[in-house]
Amino acid sequence: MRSPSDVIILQSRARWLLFLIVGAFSLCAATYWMVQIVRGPYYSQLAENNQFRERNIAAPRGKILDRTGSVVLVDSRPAFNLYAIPELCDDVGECIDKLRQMVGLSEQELQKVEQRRRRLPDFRPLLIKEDIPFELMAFFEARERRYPWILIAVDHRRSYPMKKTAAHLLGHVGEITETQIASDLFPGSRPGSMVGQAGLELRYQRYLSGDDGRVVQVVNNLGRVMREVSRDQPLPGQDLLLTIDQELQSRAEELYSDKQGALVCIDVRSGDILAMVSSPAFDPNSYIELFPMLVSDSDSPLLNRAISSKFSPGSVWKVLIAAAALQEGIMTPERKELCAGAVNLAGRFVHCHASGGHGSLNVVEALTLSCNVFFYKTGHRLGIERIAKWAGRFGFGELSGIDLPYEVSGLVPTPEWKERVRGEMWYPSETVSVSIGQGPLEVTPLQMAVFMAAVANGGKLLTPQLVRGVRDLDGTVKYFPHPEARSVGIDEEHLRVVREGLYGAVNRGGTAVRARIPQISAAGKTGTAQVIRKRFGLKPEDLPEEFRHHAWFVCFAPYEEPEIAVCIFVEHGGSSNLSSVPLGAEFLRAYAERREGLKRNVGVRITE
Amino acid sequence: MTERRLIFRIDYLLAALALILGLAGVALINSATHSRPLEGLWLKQLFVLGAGTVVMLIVGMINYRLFVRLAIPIYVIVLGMLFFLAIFGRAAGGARSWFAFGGLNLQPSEFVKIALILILAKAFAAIERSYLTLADMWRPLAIAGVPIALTAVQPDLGTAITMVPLLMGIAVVAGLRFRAVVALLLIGLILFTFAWMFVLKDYQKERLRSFLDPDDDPTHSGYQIQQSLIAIGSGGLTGKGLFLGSQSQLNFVPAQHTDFIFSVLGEELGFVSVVGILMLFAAFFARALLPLRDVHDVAGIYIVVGAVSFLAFQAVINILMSIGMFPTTGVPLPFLSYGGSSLLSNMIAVGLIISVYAYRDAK
Repeated sequence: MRSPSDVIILQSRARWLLFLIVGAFSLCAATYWMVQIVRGPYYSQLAENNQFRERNIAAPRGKILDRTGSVVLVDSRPAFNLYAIPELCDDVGECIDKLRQMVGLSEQELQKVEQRRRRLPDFRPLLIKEDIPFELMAFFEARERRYPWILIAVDHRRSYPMKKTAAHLLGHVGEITETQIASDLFPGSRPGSMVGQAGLELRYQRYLSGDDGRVVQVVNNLGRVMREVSRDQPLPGQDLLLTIDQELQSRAEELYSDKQGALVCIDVRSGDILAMVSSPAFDPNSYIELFPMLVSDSDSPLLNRAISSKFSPGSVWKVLIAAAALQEGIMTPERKELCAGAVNLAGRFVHCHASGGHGSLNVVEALTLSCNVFFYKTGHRLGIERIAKWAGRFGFGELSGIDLPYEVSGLVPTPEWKERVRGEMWYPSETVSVSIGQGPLEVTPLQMAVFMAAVANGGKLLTPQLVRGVRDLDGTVKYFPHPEARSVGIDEEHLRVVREGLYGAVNRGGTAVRARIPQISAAGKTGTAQVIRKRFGLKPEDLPEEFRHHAWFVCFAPYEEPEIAVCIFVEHGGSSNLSSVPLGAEFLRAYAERREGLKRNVGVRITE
Repeated sequence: MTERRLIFRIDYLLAALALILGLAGVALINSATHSRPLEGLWLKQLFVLGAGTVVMLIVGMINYRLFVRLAIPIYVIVLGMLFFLAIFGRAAGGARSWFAFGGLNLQPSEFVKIALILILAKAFAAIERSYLTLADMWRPLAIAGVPIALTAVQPDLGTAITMVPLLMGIAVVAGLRFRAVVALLLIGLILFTFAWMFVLKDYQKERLRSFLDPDDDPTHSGYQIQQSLIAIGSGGLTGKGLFLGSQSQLNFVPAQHTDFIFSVLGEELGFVSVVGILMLFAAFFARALLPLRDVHDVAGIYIVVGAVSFLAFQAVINILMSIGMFPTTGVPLPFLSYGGSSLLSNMIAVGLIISVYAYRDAK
């Protein structure tokens, strides 16, 4: 048993314990005072940075289908991206190594993974490989418990089952750029959104894109996701129904497999583009991989020649001169001009391609034979102002309004234009050049097709359309109304005369006889566009030999009751007789075969 | 005095202080878990608090000498449970100790503290000298060493650490020389170095490292401290209001209803309430220690000292840990942190103190 004094010593020691505790608590209070009062404002600021964050859930993009709704040109497929979450790994290096063995990563991919890993905090999913095969995805999904550190995220990718078909029209999607975000042209998009960057993908972005879903998360000041607050599921985009007929389009593309150029086939009644080819083309499936090559290719495969390239119209222009002259009353169907092989006009001696001359001919014969002298004289009488006026009425020098971006307007020269751009006055001799489609004229293949359609349909200038409508998820199709056609202002009786001339060119021993086929009656006009534009004294003879001319053939069919107008353009085709016209014949044959099918399809509501 | 009826000898003020701290904890747990999957945990805690209060009073009404007599069997039973855990717990899969919320899992390591108080009180009381040397320490060291080691390998470093001041508190009051204290600390340091190299798990080392510089690697372990600092710091003088702390409500601070309960207090109720809770604790410890002058039984003194030592140490460590002044060791705040076993063992410890005063004059 202890002595009482011993116990008193113990009690006093225990009291010291109380002092110790009170001292420690005072220290606690002091440190909290430092943190909460002295440094309080600093931490308040940090707390404000701990905030909500919205994350996008990309909506599946709509498909792009041909006019029948049965052929998928652009598909949206899910792509599975493989991630690892480092903080859930015992050893990140081991995890990555395991994935490397399972999915097969190249040295380069492995380096990229390492780079990403250094940038990202451990709780952020680390992208290992994009677009892994479905089997691998299924493999990992089934083993979710075994590999809790593996994350598979789905995104949507574009695929092009028809490969090169209509590649120029479809365009492509890509991540939205900073400028695009700032531009307000992409409502509802945000950094990281995939948006249409070209072609129909761009133009019909708002139908295709759907509405992205959104998940609101709480993140801390380091960006770690703490919890989900709300989630809106995405609304998938609508499918796009093109005016393009896949069968016709494919046939047309085959025709261009070994050629450069463009083809436009338009329905003269509605403005629907049934086929639009630009060659060379590319396979959009490998667009990203091939992009550097495509861009530097001197043949410009990325260029949509049908709407973005402009050329001299050549003799096709004579059709416009004829129509204008008839309407202006400076010419009648009966009036004849003498072609002696050459003529002196406005102080210039100009030749016809027929060296002996065509003799005396009227407008129908002149169109049939493409007589230069006849149109030199007619154009000279019309004058540049009136030529420009009627060219404008027919849609030249302005955008056709087709539903594709990056269309160019071409050029119809006027004295004002020359004064403004070149600071020189207009010479009447230039009018002579313009009369047969030379000089500074620039037209696109699409403008040529729309022009020919107006000749064929009685003077209605159509707005060409590539999209018929959109199809909802439930299969209901909403057709877009056809834009109102503008009247060109040329009477049908005059147009009938012009059409007769064009009929002769194909069917009565004219310049396009090779386009005469039994299946369908056609009428059309050939033309030649110089590769280096002839200007101001530079004569074709002075051109280097390797620059062969481009060949045009612009036609409509059937002659009696026109359905389509076609513009065929072959770059460096040389003689149209050997290039554009036979090609046109092939296309007309293809159309004749497809005609019944197309008729059946018109106006049919497509529901699935 | 001995004639006073038992019911009047109970220190209701001490019991009330413990209960008030416990209720404050329930309120904070509610705020920390509300509108989260853990919602409703506060009810569980309230239930344990009620049960714990009853247990506390029952323990307080039983002569502590009975417990001291039973110290060895109690010690052996609790130790047996620890052994069982050490062998089979591991096989069940390494549950991360500070991450395992959930049901009323009994954590034997919490009750080891009670067993240790009793057996160490008994052991030191057997040494009838007013000053102790290192040589006197071998027995107590062995007694405390076994559960400390077993708890540390669980791995529950936090609980293991809180047993050290329990031992040292009693030893110092029992008269351990200053030199011996220094020597023990040195030995501890050497053991720690050894443990660092061969025993400590990576995540434990990481926590210690992150303590040294929380800003250095904010994405890893220092993250917790960083977020807790932001929570407490942004609370300012009066706080943002209960249920209104953005850090706490958005669950930025991991384990905020358990080890980091003080971050909720600091953010939502501010510096004023931090001082308030500190004063409540101070009042509790003062009330627990001051009446010792009337206690003449050495074992009784040791029981009070042991209980106060581990409770006070845990409180100080937890409070400092919440603002990064101490490594994140997984030490809960007595009475306030969520956790049934911890709360229950705290209440039993208070019951023992009450019993010491209630039966100070008995035999």
